[in-house]
Amino acid sequence: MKMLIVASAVFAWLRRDSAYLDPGSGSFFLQVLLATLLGALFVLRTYWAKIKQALSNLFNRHKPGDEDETE
Amino acid sequence: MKLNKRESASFRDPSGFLYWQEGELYRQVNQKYQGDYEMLMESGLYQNLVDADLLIPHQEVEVEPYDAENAYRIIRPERVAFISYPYEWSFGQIKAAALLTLAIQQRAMAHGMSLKDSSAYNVQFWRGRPVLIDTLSFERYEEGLPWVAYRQFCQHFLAPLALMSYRDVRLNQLLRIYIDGIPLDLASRLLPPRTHFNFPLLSHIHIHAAAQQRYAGQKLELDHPRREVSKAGILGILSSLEAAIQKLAWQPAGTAWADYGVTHNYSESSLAHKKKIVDSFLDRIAPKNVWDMGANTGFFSRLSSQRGIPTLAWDIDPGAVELNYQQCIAEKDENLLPLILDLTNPSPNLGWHNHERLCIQERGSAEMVLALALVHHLAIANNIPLDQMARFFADLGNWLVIEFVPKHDPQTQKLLAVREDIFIEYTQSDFENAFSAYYKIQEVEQIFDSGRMMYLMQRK
Repeated sequence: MKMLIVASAVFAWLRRDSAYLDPGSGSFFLQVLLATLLGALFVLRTYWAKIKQALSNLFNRHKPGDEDETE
Repeated sequence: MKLNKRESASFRDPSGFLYWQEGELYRQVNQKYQGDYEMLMESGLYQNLVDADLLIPHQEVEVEPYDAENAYRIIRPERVAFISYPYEWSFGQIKAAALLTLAIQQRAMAHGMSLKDSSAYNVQFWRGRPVLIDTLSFERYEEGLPWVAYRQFCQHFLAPLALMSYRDVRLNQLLRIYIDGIPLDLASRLLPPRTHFNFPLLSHIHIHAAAQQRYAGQKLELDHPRREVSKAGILGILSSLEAAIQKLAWQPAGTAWADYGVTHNYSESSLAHKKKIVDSFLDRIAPKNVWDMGANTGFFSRLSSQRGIPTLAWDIDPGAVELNYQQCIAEKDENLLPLILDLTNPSPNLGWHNHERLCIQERGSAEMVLALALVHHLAIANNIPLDQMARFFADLGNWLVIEFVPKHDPQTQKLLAVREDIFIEYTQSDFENAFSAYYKIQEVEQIFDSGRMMYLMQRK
């Protein structure tokens, strides 16, 4: 939801004026903005997946009677 | 005069181009592209993509280049049976092509490369699956630079899919007008307001369109340190686009085209007999390819594709084409390609010099054309005279399997119920006379329990 509020603010600001369309520049500036936001999320998600994997490995190792782990 | 011919759609990218030489299709790789081509082949990316059936395979060959001055290498790509266009694809086909493009870009990034364009026209259906056919679409990825094909991806894939899913499935036809994808300001205006509450659509379409207006004409300073786009940033954008596209859906059920269960209006014995007739014509001619015009969900097209014959199943109804495509995927049918076409207004020649995207006759021809339960729709519902119909089918292919649906048939009566019967020249003998001008009638057989006639005709 927070992301939507931030995005709406950006949206309102961008809409201030209109001019001749030049798709290249706008797409580029948007990527700078989105890359910061979505890139951070992407890194967090990657780490979170790694942490979850590590935790699940740890949990499985301590599980008694797990034949796969004792092999 | 040169016997070789350059492919009319292959001219925008200076990296190389396609050309024909003695019936073979080649791609010239220009010296300008040498570095990127070598990286594609040596980084393992090419093999990775080909092994996963994402990229069309090619062979490096020793033939005379078309343009020796600029040539670095000539490659011969595997041939795609028929080149189709995004405005002929159903929702599921566009979605599959979009996900393919993103999957390729993710793999390219992992190999230090990036797609330099993401045109939907670079994707074709090959052996039942979408593949990238433009081997020269890759360039070395430079850390910090944005994804140059992002705008094109949103215009060619995300915007049409969002419009088809949220507004109306027929909006894929905007791709026929806008040859470089649907302009994002137009997509933004056409999408319902609730799409502002969907973060990927808000950012990649609505804000994207606004950003294009806001920064129109501003010079790009790509080396500005605060304007760098990190690799994680691009991967984040790709993952957001992928999630957005995965979520977009459209199902034919529950729409105006809900009645797909009923694929015929015959008794079981009539249907079995009609199937037997089509089977016997296919066995007698053994055509090398078949176009089924008015295929519905592909019941009769499958008689051909299951014989291993490359078959196109054309239909006007995007719901029928979607169901047909889903069945092809479920059955892993490599020989059947369902496509959308309005026979009364078929895909025209479009684009630069009207020769970038071609009408169907200029993209190929059929050895056998099927026109089943179609004549009455064209003649009665669309006022197409029988001789014009004969001329059109003769333009498409050599053999014709056509079903004549007489005026007293319940389906024809249904069409006539809502209009005055002005069709005095719609009798079986009128039909045979009109088609005899273009065809030699080889076989005629009446379908059991109906007044419908099945014909096998050969073009004169």
